[in-house]
Amino acid sequence: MISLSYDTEYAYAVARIQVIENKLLNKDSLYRMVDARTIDEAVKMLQESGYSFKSSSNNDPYEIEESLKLEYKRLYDLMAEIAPEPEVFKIFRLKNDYHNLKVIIKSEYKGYAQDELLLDTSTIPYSELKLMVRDRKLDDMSEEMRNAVLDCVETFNKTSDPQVIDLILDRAAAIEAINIARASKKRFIIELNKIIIDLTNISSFLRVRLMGKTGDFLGNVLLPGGKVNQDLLLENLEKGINGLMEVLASTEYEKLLISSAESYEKGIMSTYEKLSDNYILDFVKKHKYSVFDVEPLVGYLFAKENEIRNVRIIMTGKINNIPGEIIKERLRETYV
Amino acid sequence: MAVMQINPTRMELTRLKNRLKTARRGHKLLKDKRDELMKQFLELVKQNKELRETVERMIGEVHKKFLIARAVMSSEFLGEALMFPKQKIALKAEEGNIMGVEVPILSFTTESTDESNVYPYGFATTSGELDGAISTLSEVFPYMLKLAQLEKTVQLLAAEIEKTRRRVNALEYVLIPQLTETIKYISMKLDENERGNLTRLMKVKDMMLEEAHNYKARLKEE
Repeated sequence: MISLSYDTEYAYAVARIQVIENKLLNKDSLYRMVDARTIDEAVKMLQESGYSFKSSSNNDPYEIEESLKLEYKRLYDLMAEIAPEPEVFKIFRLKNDYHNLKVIIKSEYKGYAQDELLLDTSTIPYSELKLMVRDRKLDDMSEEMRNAVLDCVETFNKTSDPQVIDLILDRAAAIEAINIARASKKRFIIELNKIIIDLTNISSFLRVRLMGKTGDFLGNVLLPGGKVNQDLLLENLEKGINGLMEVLASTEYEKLLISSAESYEKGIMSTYEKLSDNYILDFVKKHKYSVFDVEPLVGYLFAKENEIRNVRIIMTGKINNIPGEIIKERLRETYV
Repeated sequence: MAVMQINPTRMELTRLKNRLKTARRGHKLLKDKRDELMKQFLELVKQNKELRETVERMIGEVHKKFLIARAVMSSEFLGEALMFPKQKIALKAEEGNIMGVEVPILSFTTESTDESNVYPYGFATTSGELDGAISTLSEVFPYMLKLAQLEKTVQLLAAEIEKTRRRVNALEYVLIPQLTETIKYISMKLDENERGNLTRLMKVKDMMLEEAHNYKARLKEE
């Protein structure tokens, strides 16, 4: 049970979030950025909404990437600062820990480090994580993570296949996320996590189908803990998206699949990915009006991540002179 | 055309005539070689152009797809996904022969025969847009290798054609005219000598007849 004292803390945090929420870029601003004549103009719009850039000449994609990274860091720091139960937010930073693990383990097998790929928004600082893996001192890790690392080492030595590292760690990340969600006892978090797992599994199903891989392979890819039964996905791999639509008819994902079927048949995943991002955002949007709980905070977290993704799409597009239409096609819905 | 520094003797003439014959023969052979090389070259260049266009079109597509994958994924996640390749290939380089030109023949074998084994990453943190980029890239690879082979071949052939052309020209415009000139010079010189000899002989004959019959004195007496 949430103790009463959390209520007031949440009231404060939610109020604060509601203020900064309004600073999020809305659809109009995003479209204005897409239509901006020069990159500088688009950058100026970003600066006005609080993004920071080191200098004014921003044709360098790395600089924009840097600034987006900074924005991520700020977002997570903010959440850690104002969230009354910061351990709930661990669930959203977990993917960064596992990302760092992947980089560290792959670096080890490759023989040289690529530290520029490490993220500092993880729950365990990557410098510590590096030492843990190097010295094989895994006691401070969660049980899931520890087993996954050992599994990776063992399997890679047998197969020398880098993909298994990703697959093992993705699965471990999913299981750990489920554990955290359960421990939080918040229905919203549990449900959100399930949706994320389902959408990831459906995406894996569609991608594996496009690659022409077998059900055995898909079995290794699918993550546990979703609402959609894994066996149903495995059985229907041969039938592709039509089989999937049949299986998921009258579930909440039906509409999503129907809308993305047409472009998927042409081998295009972008529609599905966009719509599934929108689906998650819609879900958190629906819950943003509770006042004494974590929902608005999570909502803001997703909204901001979504905004950063949109900004990356726009800026990458602008720098590379991709037509505005193609950029707009890929833009995700906005939160405000 | 300069005449060679040579003694105008009959022996030299025979030698030069033989050289000219060889030079003409060589010229004809080289010219044939050049023409044949040219023919092969043009054909290869045509193939090369088509192949290059295909490769460039495919690579353009790969770039476009990567760009979009790059737009929807953060650079760290993209970097992680691609940091460790899965598929390995063994490249074999052999030598082939076109008209005496050594050209490379490249072939490769993939370690795993499963064509869908080119994706080195997991699915939870990567975008499907990346799959398209990777698969197109793996499709373009054999073409790129073929293009490398063809372009090198064309380069080597071009160098050989250039060399042969220079030789043909050297024969045609330098050595053969030089030889012909020199031969002409020697035969003229020899003819000249011949005529000199003849005149001298006639003169000697006159003088001998004069001495024997004393024509001049007799003419005066009459």
